Amino acid sequence: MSDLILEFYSEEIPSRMQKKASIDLKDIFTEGLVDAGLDYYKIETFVTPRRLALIVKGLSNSSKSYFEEKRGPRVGSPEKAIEGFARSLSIDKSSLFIKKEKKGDFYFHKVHQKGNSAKEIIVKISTDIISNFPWKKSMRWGEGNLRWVRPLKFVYCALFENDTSFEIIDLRLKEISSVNFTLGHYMISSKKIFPKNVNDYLKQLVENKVILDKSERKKIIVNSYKKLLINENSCVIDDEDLIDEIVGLVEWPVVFLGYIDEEFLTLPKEILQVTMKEHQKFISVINKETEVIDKFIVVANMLAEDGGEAILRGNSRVLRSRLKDAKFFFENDIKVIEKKGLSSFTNNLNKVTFHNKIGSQLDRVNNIEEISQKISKLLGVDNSKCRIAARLCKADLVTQVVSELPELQGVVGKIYADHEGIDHVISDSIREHYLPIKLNDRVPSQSISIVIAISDRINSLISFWKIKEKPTGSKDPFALRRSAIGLIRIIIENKLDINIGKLISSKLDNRDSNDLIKFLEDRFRVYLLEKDFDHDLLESCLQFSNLNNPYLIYLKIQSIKEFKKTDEFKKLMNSYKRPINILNAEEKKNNYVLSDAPSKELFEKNDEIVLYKKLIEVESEVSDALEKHDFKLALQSLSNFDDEIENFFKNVVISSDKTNIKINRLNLCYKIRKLMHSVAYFGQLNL
Amino acid sequence: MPYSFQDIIHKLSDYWSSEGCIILQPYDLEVGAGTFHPATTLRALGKKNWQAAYVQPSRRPTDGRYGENPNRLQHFYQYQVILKPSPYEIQELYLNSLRAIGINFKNHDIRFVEDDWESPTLGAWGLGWEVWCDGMEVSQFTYFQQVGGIDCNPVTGELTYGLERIAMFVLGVDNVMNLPFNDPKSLYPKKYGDVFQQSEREYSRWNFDIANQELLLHHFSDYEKECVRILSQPKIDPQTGMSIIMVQPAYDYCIKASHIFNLLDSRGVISPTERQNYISRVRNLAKSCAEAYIMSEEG
Repeated sequence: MSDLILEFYSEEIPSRMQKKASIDLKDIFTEGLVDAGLDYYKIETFVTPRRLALIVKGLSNSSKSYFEEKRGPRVGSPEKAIEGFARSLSIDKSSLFIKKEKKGDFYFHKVHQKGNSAKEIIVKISTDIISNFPWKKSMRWGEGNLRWVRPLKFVYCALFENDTSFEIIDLRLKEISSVNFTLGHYMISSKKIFPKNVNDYLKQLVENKVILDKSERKKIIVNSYKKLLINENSCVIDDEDLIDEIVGLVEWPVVFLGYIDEEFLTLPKEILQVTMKEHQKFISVINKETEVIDKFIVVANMLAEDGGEAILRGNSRVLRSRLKDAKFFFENDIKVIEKKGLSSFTNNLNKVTFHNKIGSQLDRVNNIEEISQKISKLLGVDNSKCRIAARLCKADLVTQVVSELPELQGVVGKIYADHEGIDHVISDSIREHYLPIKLNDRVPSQSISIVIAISDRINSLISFWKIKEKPTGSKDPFALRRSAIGLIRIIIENKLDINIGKLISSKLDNRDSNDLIKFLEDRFRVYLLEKDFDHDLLESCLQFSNLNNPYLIYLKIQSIKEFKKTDEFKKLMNSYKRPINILNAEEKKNNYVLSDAPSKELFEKNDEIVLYKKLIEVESEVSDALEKHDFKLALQSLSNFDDEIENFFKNVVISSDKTNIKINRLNLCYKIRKLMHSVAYFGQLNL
Repeated sequence: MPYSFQDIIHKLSDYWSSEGCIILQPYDLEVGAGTFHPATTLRALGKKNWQAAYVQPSRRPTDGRYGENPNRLQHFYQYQVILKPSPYEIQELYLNSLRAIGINFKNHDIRFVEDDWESPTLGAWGLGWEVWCDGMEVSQFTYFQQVGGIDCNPVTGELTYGLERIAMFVLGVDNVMNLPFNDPKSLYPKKYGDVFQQSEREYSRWNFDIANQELLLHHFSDYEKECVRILSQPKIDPQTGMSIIMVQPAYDYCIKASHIFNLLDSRGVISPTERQNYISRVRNLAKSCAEAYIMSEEG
């Protein structure tokens, strides 16, 4: 048993790529070990700005030996071929044996394969990782052809048998060397480290100012700023993404608290926060009493001799000049707002392209406006307010602040609209119509915001489908998947009864519109699966159907899920299966032309008539229930004729000498199927 | 410690000279960045090694602020270092250059923050970082992967220092116009503003409001045509009988076209759709030049 350390030491790995890299490394290495049959106790991976590392504990010394059967030529092949096969294995022809296979009889030889040593296996997996690691974006450097996220400086790979004995594994690489040491923090303590075992590796790294574990670095950052804020009556504005990014920029975090100059405190909070985050990676600190952002947290990757004075001074100075810019832009915008209003910016949107083939942002606004008028009508929302909101929703894109800080789109528009005194439901929509942006964001809930949010997304989808710019594979440059899933969430979570299928098909030609609806349906499936609806439920409601009204489908699926738990469901399935099975079998055999209108005159038996009459009743109940979107009631109705079905199959034989009688009975079954399928494809459900 | 803007330039040149670079002079055409210098764009192509450093005056007409903004200028200086192939210890070389201009790492926080570089007009891209010193961007650091649509092999390492900004940091000055251009204790001390305040104002007005659009539009297509015409000449020069591919003259016209485009942009006469179109026209010129360079002697 031994422990392994594998470290890829490189120039700075971009922060946003680190998490995936450490997961990929773990997966690939685990798979490599499993494939090779090498046992281990535990694998962990780590990532810092300059290294990607892996520690395996309790690694077996070699993989198990096994027998392998090598297949030779077919029995009856020319003698030469058989001899050649034997020769290639350095054995005599007589030690071959014959085995029957699907394709015939073949000569075989059983070879004893020894297990491979841990070392061999590690070399193979590691060299493979170096040449094929799945970086999203990689590069070459110097004269080599190796690819890594940034230049890979060296690889440290060591196998520790116990506390005293270890072996440096030479990976025999052409372009980079595998070495017997690693390095400490390259600015604070860049000396060579020669670990004696795994614990010693971690210990020496810490002594040389490297904290390998990112969650530990995070803990240090959080604890440090909490300590700094103890007497400040302030707290940080939580931002997990930002902290994670900072954690990926430092091997040895040192945290400082800085103060924002008085003259900038009047800037809107969001502008302060985003300026500090995007440009400087500072965490905003808000004063609990005044609710103003008046401080910031900066994390350095350096243990400075002067205690960090120069670092804090430098950072504060950069911030000052950034905020000076921001303030300048903000004040310029406000001057325009006060003079001409936010709507004056809308006119300038013709100067900004939305997409070369689609047109300007002003064209986009015009389209959103048009769609918003339809949607507001469908949802019964004040359509003149929607019109104003639509015309303002992208106005801030040409403000100076948003030109400088694009991530503030929507936020700045709302601030300016409020400054101008525009109706709150409208100003809120300028910000809210962008929601949800991230997976767990809330959806807009105010009616105007909802209308604009839906119109914006439908417009984007339609526009890009029109010019055949659809997402493919991992490529989705216009974030259309996000638009689609956002659209679905807004509809479902606000319980909106709206037929988007109809809207889409009125705007696109047949093929594109079917394709887009299919695309939305796929997103909808993903959404439903995440909400714990099983595949069979999805199939029962989405198969062959157009995703016209997502909310109704959602309600239906929900009702079926509940209904599946009841006894009535079994009755329904009984009434479904028998007629449908017979129908399916007959449809396969014969070419009858069937319809859902059996003729009363052709019924011979009483049970046929009883069933038919019951069906007419149920049909009208179901259609009433569907009208009212009461899917539970519809399902109950469908489970109400199981007695009649039972008697029908007990007392009536479908087959008859007279074809018209038989067809008439099949038509009865056909009617049942049509009625059932008007609610759902019950055949898809698992029992 | 350096004591002036020009001293920082000297110290950088001394340092890179001692590291074996040739110290070139600025290219004598208007460009938007040091990268446009043929010593970077063209030399990044082909197999030959190349180590050079130079100052390049750079013009970005849209960044003009009439000399009133403490940080922004429409004319500024870049210090550019080109190392081909990028050496193993390039980061250390770079950090030592910062030491050479007086940045004491014991008290400063140096960070390499992801920044992928792309020049749509040059058809070029690379991966690298912005280098931060105490939160201030002091350099761009790029490993060229492609120039003019052609793969770089070997890979060139490019270091670009924003000279005004780095000088402001080193000399502790908050407004670029207050930078001491030469030694404040010299016989005739001058500040950056003494040299450039007025010209910033003049160019800002010209760039934004006065530049003759008609003329510029004409120039653009004339330069484009000339670039194409130069490259379409037969390889063999009838005068000398030698094979002469005129890459650099052609590339000059590509640079000129690019600058004209920047001027048109700052005049606000290019609509968004046209913008893409102009960029791709310049890129086509750059690509043709890159392809021609590969075919030439130096490539």
